[in-house]
Amino acid sequence: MAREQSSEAAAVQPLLEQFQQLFFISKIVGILPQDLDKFRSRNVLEKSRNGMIYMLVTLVVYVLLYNVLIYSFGEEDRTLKASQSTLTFVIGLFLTYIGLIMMGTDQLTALRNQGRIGELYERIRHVDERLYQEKCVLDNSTIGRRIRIMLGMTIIFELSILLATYIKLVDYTQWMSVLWLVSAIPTFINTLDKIWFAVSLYALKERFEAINATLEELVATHEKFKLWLRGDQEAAAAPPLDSSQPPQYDSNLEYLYKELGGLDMGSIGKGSSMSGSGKNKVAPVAHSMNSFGEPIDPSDKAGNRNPMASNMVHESELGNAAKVEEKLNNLCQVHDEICEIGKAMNELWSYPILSLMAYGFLIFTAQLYFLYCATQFQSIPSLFRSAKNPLITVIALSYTSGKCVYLIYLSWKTSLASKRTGISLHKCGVVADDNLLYEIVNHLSLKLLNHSVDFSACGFFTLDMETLYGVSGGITSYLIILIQFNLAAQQAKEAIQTFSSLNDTAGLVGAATDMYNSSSTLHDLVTTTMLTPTG
Amino acid sequence: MSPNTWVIEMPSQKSCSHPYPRRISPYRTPSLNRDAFTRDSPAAATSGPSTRSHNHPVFEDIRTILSVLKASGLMPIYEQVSNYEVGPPTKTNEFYSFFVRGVVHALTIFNVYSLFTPISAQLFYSYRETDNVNQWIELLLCILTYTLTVFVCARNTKSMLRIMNEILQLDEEVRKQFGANLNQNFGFSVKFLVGIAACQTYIIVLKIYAVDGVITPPSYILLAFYAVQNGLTATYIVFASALLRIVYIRFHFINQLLNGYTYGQQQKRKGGGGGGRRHRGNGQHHPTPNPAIMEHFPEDSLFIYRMHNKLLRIYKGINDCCNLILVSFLGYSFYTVTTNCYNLFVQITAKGMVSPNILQWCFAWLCLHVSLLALLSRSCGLTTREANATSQILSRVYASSREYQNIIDKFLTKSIKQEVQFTAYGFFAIDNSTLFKIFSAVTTYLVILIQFKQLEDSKVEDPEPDQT
Amino acid sequence: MIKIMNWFSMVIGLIPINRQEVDSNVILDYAMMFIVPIIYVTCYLSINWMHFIGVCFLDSCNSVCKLSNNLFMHLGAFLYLTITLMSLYRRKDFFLQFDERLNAIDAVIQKCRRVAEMDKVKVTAVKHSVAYHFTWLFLFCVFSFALYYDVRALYMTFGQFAFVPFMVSSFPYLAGSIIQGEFIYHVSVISQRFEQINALFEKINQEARHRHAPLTVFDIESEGKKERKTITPVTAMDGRTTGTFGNEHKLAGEMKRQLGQQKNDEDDVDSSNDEDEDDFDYDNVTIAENTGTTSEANLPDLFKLHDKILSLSVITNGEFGPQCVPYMAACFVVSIFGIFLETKVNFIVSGKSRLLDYVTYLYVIWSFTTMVVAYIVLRLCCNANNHSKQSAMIVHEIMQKKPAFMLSNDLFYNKMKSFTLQFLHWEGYFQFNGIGLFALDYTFIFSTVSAATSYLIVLLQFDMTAILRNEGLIS
Repeated sequence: MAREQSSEAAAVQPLLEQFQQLFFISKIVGILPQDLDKFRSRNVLEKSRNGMIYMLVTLVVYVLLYNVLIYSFGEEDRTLKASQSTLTFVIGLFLTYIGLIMMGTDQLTALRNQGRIGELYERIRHVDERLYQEKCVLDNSTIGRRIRIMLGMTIIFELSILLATYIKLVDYTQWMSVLWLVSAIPTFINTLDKIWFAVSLYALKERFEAINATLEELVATHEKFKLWLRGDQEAAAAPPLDSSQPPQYDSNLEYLYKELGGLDMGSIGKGSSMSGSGKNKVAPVAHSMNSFGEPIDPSDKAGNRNPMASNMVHESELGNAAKVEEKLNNLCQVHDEICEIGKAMNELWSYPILSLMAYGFLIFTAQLYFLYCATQFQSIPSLFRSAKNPLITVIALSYTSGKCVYLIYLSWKTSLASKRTGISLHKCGVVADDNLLYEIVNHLSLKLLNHSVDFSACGFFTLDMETLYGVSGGITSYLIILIQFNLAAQQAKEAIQTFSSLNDTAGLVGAATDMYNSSSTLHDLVTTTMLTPTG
Repeated sequence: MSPNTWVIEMPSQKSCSHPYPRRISPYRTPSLNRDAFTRDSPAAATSGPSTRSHNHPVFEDIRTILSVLKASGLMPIYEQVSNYEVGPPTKTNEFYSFFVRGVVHALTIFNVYSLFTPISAQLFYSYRETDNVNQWIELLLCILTYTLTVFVCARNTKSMLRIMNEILQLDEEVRKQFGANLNQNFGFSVKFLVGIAACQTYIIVLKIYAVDGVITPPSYILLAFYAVQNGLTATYIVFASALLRIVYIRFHFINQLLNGYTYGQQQKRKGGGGGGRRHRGNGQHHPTPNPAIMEHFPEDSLFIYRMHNKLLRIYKGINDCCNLILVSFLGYSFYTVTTNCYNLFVQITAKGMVSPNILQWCFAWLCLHVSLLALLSRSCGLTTREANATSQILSRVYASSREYQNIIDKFLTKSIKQEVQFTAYGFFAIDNSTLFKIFSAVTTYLVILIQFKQLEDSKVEDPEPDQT
Repeated sequence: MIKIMNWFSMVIGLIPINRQEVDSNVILDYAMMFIVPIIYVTCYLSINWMHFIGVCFLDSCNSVCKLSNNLFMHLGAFLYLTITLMSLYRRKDFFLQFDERLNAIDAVIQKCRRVAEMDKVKVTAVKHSVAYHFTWLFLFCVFSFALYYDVRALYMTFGQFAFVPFMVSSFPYLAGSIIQGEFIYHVSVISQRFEQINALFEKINQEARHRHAPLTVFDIESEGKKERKTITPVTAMDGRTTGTFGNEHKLAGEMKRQLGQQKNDEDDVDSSNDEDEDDFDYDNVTIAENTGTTSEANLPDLFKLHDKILSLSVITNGEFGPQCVPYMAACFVVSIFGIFLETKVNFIVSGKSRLLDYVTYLYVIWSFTTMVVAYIVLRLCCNANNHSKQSAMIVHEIMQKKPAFMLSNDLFYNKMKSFTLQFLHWEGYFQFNGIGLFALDYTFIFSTVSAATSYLIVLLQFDMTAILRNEGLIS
């Protein structure tokens, strides 16, 4: 019971309470500029100048370190470059920087949004309050657990990739090799940022589901009510059941009655949770204090005493059109509000998501392609040395794709949950079979049809599973094209070699072409590095 | 009705996050913070509330671009009948447009002729065979696009005028009803015009420098006309975007109007402008909407529905007028972007000889086309979103009485499955995702092209040792 | 046929034994579901690690043969393992839930039929058309041929040990197909229910058609008549069995029917009261005119039914959709490689190497088989979707047949509007799909075919002659 109450109390407490560890970590790593002390004390995200400076400093440090890394490991590339085609090189260079771009996008967006994120959570809290008034109890503790799981997964993945690569593939006799650790920073920061998004999205999904559950429960209650009407069990059973209620509720019975007067929930289990919420209201939670209870007149209370006690649902909300209209209206408004929050959230994170998706697509394709190259004993860019080992590749790929797929899956699920509400709403109408209610339901359903929460990356593509299907098709076709051309190039090279080995002056000419190749690629390297900004 | 109490938020284009609350009266007192944005604000300020008879030109916002188009015969040189109506062009003006179009067609024929004969061969000096073909095709495509534009414009003269009239009529109604003057800063169109002109001259100059030897007059004509064609096509695209922007502003206006009735705003109003979304204290009963506002709802909503319908019709009309042009332009643009990206890549990775001339040329083309594509898709996307947003905003209006609900229902039922879209001749919808699709297609082609080039190169290297 | 399939899938451990009983021996139920995968995994591992007896480790197997055999084997492993894991995860709950819901739906359908007096019309015992039987026969033939071919070829190669390579070559595809068969069965059950509902809707529609005559006569007794009508057919119990229910389910259904009957009476009273208040004139009049066919009273129940069936299909799709994805992927890959091998290898060097021929034909056969199964899945899903859409159409038709003065403020009108709106919501929410990746209807065929062509174009450019020459297959 105590646990239940604590979860009840958490219902109206801000969602951000669950974000403690995540905030702490992201603050240290420099993802969020908001004030740490205020978050600790009041669970709010507020702007902070110091945080901003700290973040900028971290950003600059990361960029510098990463460039040093690229430079120091680029030494190896230069020697390996002879046999490599220019395309592979340019793609490789682009790929090395996309991680940095992604990290920069994340951090800069966080800087830009620092005021608005706090607002977003404030809005979620308001939604919670309103839901709470409508008897949707949300349990935020799962979110805390989820965050911890995700953090754990991230750290495990990052560490395993990093250590495995470091031990197996990096020459750790040189002290410069320590720099390899830097290569994990962009992905780590990006993942942390995405955890914020994913968890907030999950919270929204839970809220949608809570609305749906409430509506379904209304239906169930009404069905029971109908059953009861038919079975006409009399109130004879009432008194013993009444006394069977736990005694500690007596102090709160007043609240209980008031609530049941307004809205009747079905089972006794719900009743107990209701009383828990009643207690919760006594507790100094500021916003939901006075919002409830006034409009109920005492006669209503007396009338409801019986039904509440007898463990069966004797009064269904759906019987009372006016009251239910209010409730449905409120639920619709909350639904709309959640949709709006979803849109706002999507907008806040639109650039990071776009960069993440681009990153995921490119890295996935590149890693597989380089894996192929590695199996054919061709040289690959030094930053992608993890592709030399299939096992590490698998881990890295599952990590990257896991991030992208989870976000897409979650957005898909969220928008499905929001669409589900309309169906549940109609169930209410059908089960009550009342003209007035039908009208209300039809009206609200039209409204719900126009609430849309579609997650997209800057409007370029929507985040749903069909996009995933398209993207997987794209990855395969790119891979096939790349591999095919690689094969063709190899064949052409072999043909040249066989030809030149037949020729008398083969060795000389081969050396000459090699020279020519290497000089041109060196030139390429110079031009490309000149073009790409360093730092 | 007492419109004095209405506060309509009109966020300006540049700062959507800080909506300026604007008081709109039927007497059209211009508010201070709009002075910075409206071009005709000095005139409006002097005209004052009572003297409204001044003759301010219609479509003042996009005057520059209109005059360019008029001069080139793409737009009819219409007569201004009154403040809110334009008439068909006079005979002489019509004849002028006709004449200009005739000249254009004659030049086109000349150009096509010179393209197919060796007169223009000196223009295609470039260092590789395929590039010449590419440029040749590009020229042809450009000619095709422009010719199509001229033809379509000539055919659609009447419908263009009708659309303009409809827009003006709408403006008049809005002014009568709300006293709002829906003008907006269309500085972007002028900027784009200047940009296009600069780009084209730059390209021509580059081209002229690149050609070695004396340039013959036909080549000059070809080049000049090529530049003019490109510029005018681009101008037309900018014009279409500006029209879309005009429609967007109207949509936005009615959405803002409607937004005042949504539950969030109503609650805010009720809470005495407490700021933020305070739902506290009215959770139990639905907040009774402010009667001062809500009682105007039926009247306003009828007006809004009518306006929305008209706007949709205008939107469709614009789409009908220029979708053929858009298709050909998108195709042309796609081709140009791909070839230029490819050239750029080839230049960068070429063995040793990077020619700055070609680099600049490619960059200029890329800038021009990418910015045009971005502008077009952005304005289409914005307008489409705003048109679809009306029903979404309406769904946020919670009325207590049955009649109001029926009013809402009527519109919502109508707009079920009514996806408003700006299509390119029905082939595909133009919005942000189009941009994305174009770029992904360009990338794919680039990868394939570059791979082929590498194969070619390696095969070219093959016979070399043979000869040595 | 379905029974054979169920029995077979129990034997190879894809669905639990006694799946329809709530409490039975857990070990017995899931024994096969664990034994068969373990056998499979041992076979797979023994072939791959110990190089025991796999086709790809024979000396006579050349590089092309080796590559394609490896692909076939690993793809099969992927398919089988994902499918088995999902089946294990599903356990019995799904089947129990499905049956329970189906029984509830059937009970309501019965009741509605009685109200609509459809019982007289003999619609019982679902008549399967020739096409249905032909399809089953065809499938059976295809599968037996595929299995026979594989077993024969393997037996000729390995003799006694043919079982081990068989487990890794054909068995996974067989298992996948059977699971798809289960999916087909469930979808077909759903689609059948939709058809029944549509028949009921159609009945109402026809009644509405008859009502077009101008109505002016008031009849007050109609209400009594109505009640009589609804109660009389209680005796008309029929033996409509769908072949899957045991006796006890029938009993349960009976009970529910009784209950439902009572409930329905009450509903009728309720609704008639409502009508009395709202617009008693119209309905009573029509009832009087129509000699009391009041199947319109079914409407709320039918709406509820439609809703229930749709949520049933959501559950079914949630269970089987994820299994569809690896199956479709495997089907796609096998088909592409089948065509590739057939055109690039078999046309050139058929008959040179027995093993190569075996592998090629294996690809072709299984690609054909899986494609047939996939097509049937798509077809049935599409059918179910269409049937559910048709209900909405019929309701719209009924709505349009109402006289104009009904359209203002009427209960029935609102009801139907509510239904159509709900259907709109459903349309946005649900469609048979493989975890959202693709919709299971004919558009999927188009998209796969277009994808396959583009891959094939790339693959067919691949020059195999050099490799084949290296293997000594062509000179």
